[in-house]
Amino acid sequence: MSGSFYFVIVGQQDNLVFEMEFLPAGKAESKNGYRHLNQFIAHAALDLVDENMLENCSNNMYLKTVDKFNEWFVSAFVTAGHMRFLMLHDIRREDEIKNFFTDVYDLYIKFAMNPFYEPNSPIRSNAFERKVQCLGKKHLLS
Amino acid sequence: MKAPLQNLVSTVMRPLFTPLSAAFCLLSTCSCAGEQNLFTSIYPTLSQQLPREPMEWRRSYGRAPKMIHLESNFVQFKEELLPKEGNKALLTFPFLHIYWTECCDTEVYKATVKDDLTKWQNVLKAHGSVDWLIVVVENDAKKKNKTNILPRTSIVDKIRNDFCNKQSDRCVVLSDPLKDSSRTQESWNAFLTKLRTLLLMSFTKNLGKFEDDMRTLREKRTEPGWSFCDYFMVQEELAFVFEMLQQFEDALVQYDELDALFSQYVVNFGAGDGANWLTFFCQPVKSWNGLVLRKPIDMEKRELVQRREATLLDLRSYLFSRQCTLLLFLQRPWEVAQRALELLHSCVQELRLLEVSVPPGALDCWVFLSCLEVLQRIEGCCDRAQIDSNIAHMVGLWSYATEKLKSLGYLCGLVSEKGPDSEDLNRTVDLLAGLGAERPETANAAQSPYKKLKEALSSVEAFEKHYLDLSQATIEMYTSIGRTRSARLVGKDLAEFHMRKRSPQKAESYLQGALKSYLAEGWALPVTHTRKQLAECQKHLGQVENYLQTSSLLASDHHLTEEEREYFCQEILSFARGSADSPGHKVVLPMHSFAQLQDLLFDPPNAVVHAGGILSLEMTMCSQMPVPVQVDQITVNVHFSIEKNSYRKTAEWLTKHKTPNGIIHFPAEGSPLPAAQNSLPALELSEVFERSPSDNSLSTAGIICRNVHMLLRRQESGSSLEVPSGVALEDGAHVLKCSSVTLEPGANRVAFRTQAKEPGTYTLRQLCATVGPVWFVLPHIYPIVQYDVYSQEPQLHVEPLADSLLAGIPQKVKFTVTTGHYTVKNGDSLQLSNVEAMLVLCQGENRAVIYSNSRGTVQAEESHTAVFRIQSSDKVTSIGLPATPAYHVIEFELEVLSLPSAPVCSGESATLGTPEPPRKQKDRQRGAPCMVTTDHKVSIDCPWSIYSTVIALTFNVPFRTTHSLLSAGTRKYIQVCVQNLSELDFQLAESNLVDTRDTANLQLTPLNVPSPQHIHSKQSVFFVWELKWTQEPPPALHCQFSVGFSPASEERLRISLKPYTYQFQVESFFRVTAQPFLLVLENVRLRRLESSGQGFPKTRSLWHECWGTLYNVKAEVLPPVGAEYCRTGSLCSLEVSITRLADLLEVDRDEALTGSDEYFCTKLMYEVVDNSSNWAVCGKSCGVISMPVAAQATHRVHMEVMPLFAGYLPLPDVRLFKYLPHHSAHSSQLDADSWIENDSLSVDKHPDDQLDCSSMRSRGSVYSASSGEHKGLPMPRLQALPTGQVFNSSMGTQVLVIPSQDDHVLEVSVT
Repeated sequence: MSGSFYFVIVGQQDNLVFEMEFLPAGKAESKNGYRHLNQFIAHAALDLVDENMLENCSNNMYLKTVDKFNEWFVSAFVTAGHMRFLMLHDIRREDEIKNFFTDVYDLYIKFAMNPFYEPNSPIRSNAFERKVQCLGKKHLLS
Repeated sequence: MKAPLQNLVSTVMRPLFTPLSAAFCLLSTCSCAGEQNLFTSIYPTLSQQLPREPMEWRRSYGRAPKMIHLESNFVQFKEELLPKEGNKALLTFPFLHIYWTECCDTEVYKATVKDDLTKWQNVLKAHGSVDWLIVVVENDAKKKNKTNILPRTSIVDKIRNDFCNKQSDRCVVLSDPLKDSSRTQESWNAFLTKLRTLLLMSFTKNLGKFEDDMRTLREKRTEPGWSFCDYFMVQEELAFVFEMLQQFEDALVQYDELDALFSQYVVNFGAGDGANWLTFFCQPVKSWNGLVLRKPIDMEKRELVQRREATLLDLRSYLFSRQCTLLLFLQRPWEVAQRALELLHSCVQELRLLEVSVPPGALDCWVFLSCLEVLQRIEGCCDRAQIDSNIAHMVGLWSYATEKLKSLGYLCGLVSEKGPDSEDLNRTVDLLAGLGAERPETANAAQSPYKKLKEALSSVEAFEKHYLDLSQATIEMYTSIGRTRSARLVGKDLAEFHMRKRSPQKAESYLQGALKSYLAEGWALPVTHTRKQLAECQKHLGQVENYLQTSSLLASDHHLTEEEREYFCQEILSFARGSADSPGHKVVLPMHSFAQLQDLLFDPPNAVVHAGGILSLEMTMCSQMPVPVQVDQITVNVHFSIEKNSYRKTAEWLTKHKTPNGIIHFPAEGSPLPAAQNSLPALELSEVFERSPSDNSLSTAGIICRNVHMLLRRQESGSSLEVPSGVALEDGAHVLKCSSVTLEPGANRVAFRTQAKEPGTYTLRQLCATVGPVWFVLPHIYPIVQYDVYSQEPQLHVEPLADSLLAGIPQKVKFTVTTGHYTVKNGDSLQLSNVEAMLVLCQGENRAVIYSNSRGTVQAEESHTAVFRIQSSDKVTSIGLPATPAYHVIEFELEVLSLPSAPVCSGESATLGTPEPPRKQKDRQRGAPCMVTTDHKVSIDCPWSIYSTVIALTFNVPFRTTHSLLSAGTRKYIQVCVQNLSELDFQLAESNLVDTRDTANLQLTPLNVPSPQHIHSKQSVFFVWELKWTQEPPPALHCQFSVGFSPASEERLRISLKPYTYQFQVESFFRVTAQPFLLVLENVRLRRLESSGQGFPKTRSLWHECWGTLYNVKAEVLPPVGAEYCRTGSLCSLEVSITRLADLLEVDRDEALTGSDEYFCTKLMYEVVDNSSNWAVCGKSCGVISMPVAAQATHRVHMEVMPLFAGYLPLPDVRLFKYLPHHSAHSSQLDADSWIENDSLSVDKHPDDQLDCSSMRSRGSVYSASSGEHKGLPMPRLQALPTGQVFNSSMGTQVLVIPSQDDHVLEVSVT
C-alpha cells in the first residue's frame, strides 16, 4: 500500500513557495476541503523544523521525521539557503523521501539560478511542477 | 514454567532497589552436594564473602568487558534441577555444581565419599553439565584426632586423581574455614577466586549458548510455524538477565530489537508480505485501556502475549511499558515521552495498515489515556524544575491528548449546543465499556487518566472544563517554548470549539492570532480557512465593519468556491441594501479586496490641460467580486496645489516637456497569495555632498535614505490588516465623480470628465467606491498621479524655416502665434513695421494652420487651415489673423526678401573683396570662408499687447568675391572670382565689370561666356576681363563688378532680383615707406603662429597693386653638349635670362635702387625652386644680381641641374625677389650670399615656399642648418615683387628627359 504525500517548500520568511500533493494511483484527487489541513499541519511543523535544525549538529540537511500530527508524519529537509522542504506522509519512507528531497533540492537550485526568479517568491513554473511530479512518481509512488 | 518465573521475578526485582554503582551483580544459582552439614556451617561466610570482590566479565561479540560482583543462591543438588535437552530457559537451573566434603580419612573416602562423588559426576555427565567443583574442607582439629593420618594432601590428590581428569583446578582445598587465622584467610581467598571464576565462566558459557539459540530461533522466522510470541518470550528472557545484571542498556536493546522486528513485519504486511502469525494481532480491538506504566511488568499483558492472545495494542502496550521501565532506570524520562509519542502515532498507523477493525473513538480513548499515563509517569519521577525545562519533550503528548479529547468530544456530541443525543450517549457508553474497570494501582488515587476520561465524557460541562484545561495548558506550553505556530493551531481548534459553544467572543482572539501568523507568512489556504471562521465569529459578534471587511476579503478570495464567494458578496450587498434608508451611517472598507486599480489613462495624454479645458480620465478597475456590483458612485479625491515659482509648472514647460506618458500602471497589490509582510523594502540610499559656496570645497558629506518613510513606519500589526481603522477619508473640494457604475467581475473601465478650473497641479489622492452606506476606499493612489492646469499668455514667435536666411532671394519665415488665454477675433491683425532693406512678399493666398495647444496631439481632425489677408502700405504690413479660440496655435509662413546691399567699400578690406567675417564665426571656425551677415529688426504690434515685439532676422550673403590681376607679358587681365558659400545652387547671368571712374583711355574687354552660368554650392566661378589702355594708365583703377543671380532650382520668380555687386580698385603705385616692412615681419611671425592655411589679406592689403610688368624671366634647360636630349642622372644646363622691360619707374624708387642720375641699378635675387622634386639643382640655386634699370637690360644666369626622372618634366620654378640691403653701414655687414644661406633670413614667402626650403634642406646641400645666432642683427631683406611686375615667360614649359641607357630600373612614383 502506497500512502499519500504532500510536499511543500517553505521560504526564508516562512512563506509558502511551492506545494504539491502526491496521491497513490487509486486515490482520487483529494477533496478541496481538506487541502488547507495539509497546510495547517505543515505550517505548525515549521516550529519543529526550526528546533530540529538548531539541535542538528551534524551537517545533514535531511532532518528525518520532525513532527507527527494524527496520521501524518512530517519529514523535513533544510537547504543551505534556509529553504525548508517539508513532506507530509502517512507511511514511513525515510530513504525514499530523503532521495526525493535531494533530487528536488538539485532541481530547486537550478530553478533558483534563473535570474528572472526572485528568491522566496512562489514558484509558478510548469516545468518545475512537472519535474517535481516526476520525482514524486519515481521516489514516492513507485 | 510459571513457578520459576515467579522466582525469577523476585530475584530480578531485588537489585532494582539496591543498585550497585561501580559494577553490577550477577545472581547465579549453584547446587550443592556432599555433606550438607558442612555446607550449612560454611554458608554464612561464603554468601558474605562471595560478592565482596568484583570480577572482570569478558563478553563475546566484542562487547566491552564489565566488572561485576557475583552473588549466588545455593540449592541442594537434585537431579530434577538439571536442564533437560532443548530447554531454552536461562536462569532457572543451577550453573555450577559443588561437592563439599570434609573427609580426611582414606578409608572413609574409599568407603563412601568416592562412591558418592562418582554417582554425582555421572548424573552431571548424563545432563551434559561440565561446570562442577569439588571442595575439600580441612580441619586441623579433626586432623589431630587421627594418628594414622596420611599426608595432608593425600585425600585431595586422590580425588584429583580419580575425578579431576586433567582438570586439577576443579578440586580446591579450604583450610579451617571457621577459624580466624592468616592461613584460613589465604585459603578462603584462593577458594573464592576460584569459585568466582568458575561461576562466571559457567554463566558466560550458558549465556552465549542461550544467545546462539535465540538467534537460531530468529533466523527461522520465515518458516511457517514460527511464532512471534514465542520468540518474544525467549528474547525477553535475555532482557531479563541483562536487567538483572543491571545492564539496562542491553536489556533495552532486546526490547528495541523486538520492537523493530515487529514494526518491520507490520510494514511488510502493509506491502503485501504477510506472515501468518501476524493475523493473531489483527483481531478487532475490544479493549482500549491505555498504557500501564506503573508496574514494572504488566503480567496480565505478558500472559496474553505468552498465550498468543494479545492484540496489537496489548503487545505494543506491554512492549512500551517495559521500554519505559528500562528508560526510567536509565534516567531518561524525556526519551520516554518522545518514544511514547512515536509509539502512539505508529500504533494508529499500524492498526490502519493491518486493517484492524477499531470502533470509532476507541483509538482516541487509547491515545488519550496513554498520553496522560506517560505524562503522569514522567511527572511522578521528576521534579517540577526538570519538567519545566523539558516542556519541549512533553508538549507533543499534551497536544496529542488535547487533539484526541477534542475528537472524542465531537464524536460523543459533547461539543454541540444541544448536548449529546441518544446515539451519542450510546457511543459514549460503548467507549467507556472498552476501558474496562480501572486498574487497581490507580483505583484509589484521586487522579488518574481513567478517571479523567470517564469524567470528561460524562457531561458537556465536564468535557468543556477538561478540554479547556488541556488546551490552555498546551497553548501555554507551546508559547513558552516558542512554538507559536503550533500554539496557533491549537488555538484555532479552541476557537472552533468556542464557536460551537456559541461563545464567539472567546473565539475571536484565537482566530485573529492565527490569521495574523498565517498572513504574515503568506499561507493562503490557512488564511482563507481562518478568515471564514472569523467571518462567522464577527457575524455573531455583530461587528458590522469587521464582518463586511472579512466578507469582502473572502468574496475576492480565489481559494473559495464560487458559491462561497457569492455568498460573502451577497452579504455585503444585502447589508448595503438593508441599511440604505439609514443615512449618515457609513462603513469604510479598504478598496483592495473589492476592486483593484489597474491603470489610468488621461486625455490629453500628457495630463496637461489649460484652464477651462476638458480633461477626461479613464481608469481600469479590476473588480474582485464574483458577481456584478452596482456601485452608486466612484469618486476620486483630488488635491490641489500651486507652485508658482517653479519653472516646471509654466505653460511652456508643461506643454513642451511633459511627455505624454499614456497609461499609468498600478502595481497589483494583494496578489492572490499574500506576500510575506516582514520583507522590508531595500534601502534606497544616496550620497549627499554640500560644498561651500565660496571655494567649492566639500563642507559636509552624508548619506540619506530616500525611503525612510517605508522602513521606519510602525510595523503594521496583523489586526490592522483586518480592522478597517486608519482609513481617513479626505474631504477635498476637488472631486472627480462617476455615478451609477456596474462593476462586472474582472476589468472595468470607468471614465471621469472634468473641466479644468484654476491653474495648478492636481494630485489624485483617494479612490472611493460607494455601495449604499458601504464605502470602499483606496487611501493612497500610488504611484502618484497628477494633472496640471495652466494658463498662458499669448505669444508670437518668428523663426526662419531654414537654418539660416539668405540675402537677395525670397526666404520663408514661420510665424507662430500661441493664443494662450486670448481669443483671436476677426479683424485682429499683426502690424509689421517695414524695414527698407527687407520686403515682405505678399502672395496671392495665405493659409494658416490652426491647432489645439496641447502638444503631441496635432492630429488631422484637430488642426484646420484658414485663409488670412496681408495688406501692405509704405510703413506697415498688416497681417489679418483668422479668428481662433483660446489655447490654440496659429502657424503660417511668410516670404521675406533682404535686398542685397553692396558691400561697403571701406578701407583696404573692401579692396580685396574679402569682407570681414562676423567675429563669432571667425572664432568658431577659422579658415573656412564665412558668409557676411546683415541683421534686420522688425517691430510687430500684436493685438493683445500695447507693446511692440521686436524681432531680429539675420540674413547671410551667399557669395564671396575676390579679384586678382593677371599678366601675360605686358598684357594685363582682371580676374574676378565668385565663390558660392551657401548650400544652394545659383544661376549667374549678366556679369559686368565697369570702371567706376570711367577713365577714357581704358578699356575692359570681357573674355567670359555670355550665357547664364550655374554656380553650385561651395564652388567658384571666375570671370576675366582684359585690361587695355592706350595712354599711361591711371594711378588707380576703380572697378565695380556686378552679376545677376537667382536660385537655380526656382522655376520663375515672381519678382526681379537685384544683381550682386562688388567694388574694388587696382592701383599702380608703390608707395615706399619704412613702416610696411616692420609690419610684414610682424605678420609673418603672426601667421606662423596661427598656422593659417588661408591667404593673408592683412599683409597683402598693405601693398597697392602695381600692374605694369617690369621683368620678364625666361628659363631654358639645355641638354649636355653633344646630346640630343636630356638624360636622367646627367647634368644639364639651366639658362635663366631676366630681362627688364621698362625704364626707371616710380615703383623702382626704393632702397634697392642704386646708381647715379643716368644709370640705375636695382638688386634682385633669383631663386630656383623645384616644387615637384624633378630636378636636383647643382651648385647655388639662388643668387643676387644687380639689374640695370633700363629697358631691355638682360641678365643671364647659368646653372647646372640634373633631371631625376625621365619624361616631360616641367622646368624648375625661377622666382625673383627684390633684394633690399640693410641701409645702415653696420660694421658686421655680411655678404649677401651668406645671409641667404642663413635660416634666420626673413623672407616674405608663401608657407609652401617654406616647405620647399625644408625639403631642399632635407636633400642636404643648400642651406646649412645653422642656429639663429644672427637673430636680431640687421639683415638684408627680400621682398616679393608684386604679381603684375614679373612675368615668367617659360611658365608651363616642359623638357623631354629620356632615361639613361644603363639604368634598368624604372622608378614609378605614384602620389
